[in-house]
Amino acid sequence: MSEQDRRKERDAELWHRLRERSRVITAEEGSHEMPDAMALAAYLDGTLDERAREGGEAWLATAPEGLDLLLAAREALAEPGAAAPEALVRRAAALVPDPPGRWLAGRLRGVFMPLWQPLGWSGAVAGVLLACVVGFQLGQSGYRSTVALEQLEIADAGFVFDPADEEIL
Amino acid sequence: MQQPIPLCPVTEPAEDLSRLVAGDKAEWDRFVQRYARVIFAAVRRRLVPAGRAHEVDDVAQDVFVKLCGREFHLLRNYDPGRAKLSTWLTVIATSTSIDHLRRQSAPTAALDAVPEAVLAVDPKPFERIKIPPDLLSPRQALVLELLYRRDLEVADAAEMLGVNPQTVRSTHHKALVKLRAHFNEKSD
Repeated sequence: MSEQDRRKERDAELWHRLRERSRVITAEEGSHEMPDAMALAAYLDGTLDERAREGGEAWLATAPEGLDLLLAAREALAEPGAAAPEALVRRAAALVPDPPGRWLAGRLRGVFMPLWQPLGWSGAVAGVLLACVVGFQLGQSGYRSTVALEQLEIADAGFVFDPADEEIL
Repeated sequence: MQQPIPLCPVTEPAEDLSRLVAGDKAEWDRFVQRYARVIFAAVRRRLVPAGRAHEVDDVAQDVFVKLCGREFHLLRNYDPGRAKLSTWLTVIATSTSIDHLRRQSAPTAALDAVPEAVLAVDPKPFERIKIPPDLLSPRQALVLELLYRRDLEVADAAEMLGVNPQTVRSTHHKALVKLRAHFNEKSD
């Protein structure tokens, strides 16, 4: 071990001694002073002003659990993570329910969507049949009215054969 | 005075969460799609080294439960002017993971064997270090903690504190001078 290493070990020992003598366990008073997640995130992002930063350091120097959290968050930020599993994304999304209207629309879509194609074809066939029937009916009624009109015109013209009136012939 | 160097410079566009916290389902779905990776990564980072890889999904789900609980109470506290959403979510997810590991590591025993006083819901004991204020400044104490107990290199400690490495060396030196004097006096 070099002299430098021995010196470093002695220095570390001084800090450990002081730290152990200064260590206290509190039931709850410490937790009240704990900066919130927003303050820790601001510390990590470097957006705190100098005074707030000094306050944060004062807390970090005396609260090992807070320093644990900050160092762990810092490590996590330094490494790009893997994509979250699809099942987790689905479960998390389901924590907030759909609004009632959207739910109903979704249910109706669920019921009618499988029927949509057959219904479409049936509708198209029914439309064609209806058009044929309507066309036939219109054609027939047009024919009838034409025949009736011709008969009326013939009657009006006195062309009806009357055997008693042979002069006409 | 030296300007702090941000660990993670804020380059992410500020998120407008107003529609999300109003309960907009489509916004929540978008939020989940976008930030599930950040939360999952932070939880995984804590749980896998502790041998709890099989619990990562459940703890990540707990983070989402926290975020949308009490009508998005936690998300309402997010201030886009102070930090990136991904940084804030990483802190929340890391904190949830650490709490989970602490709960899991608590010794378990049969209920009948545990005295009633132990089962009482008391505040969790919290360790504090009370350095005499006239001995070391908070930054000096923090530098010694980072270098000697967390085994950070000077460059890493400098990055963490948002200062340059020379400032860390100088702070470290001054702190040690004070510490040596303190213990010499004690031994005299």
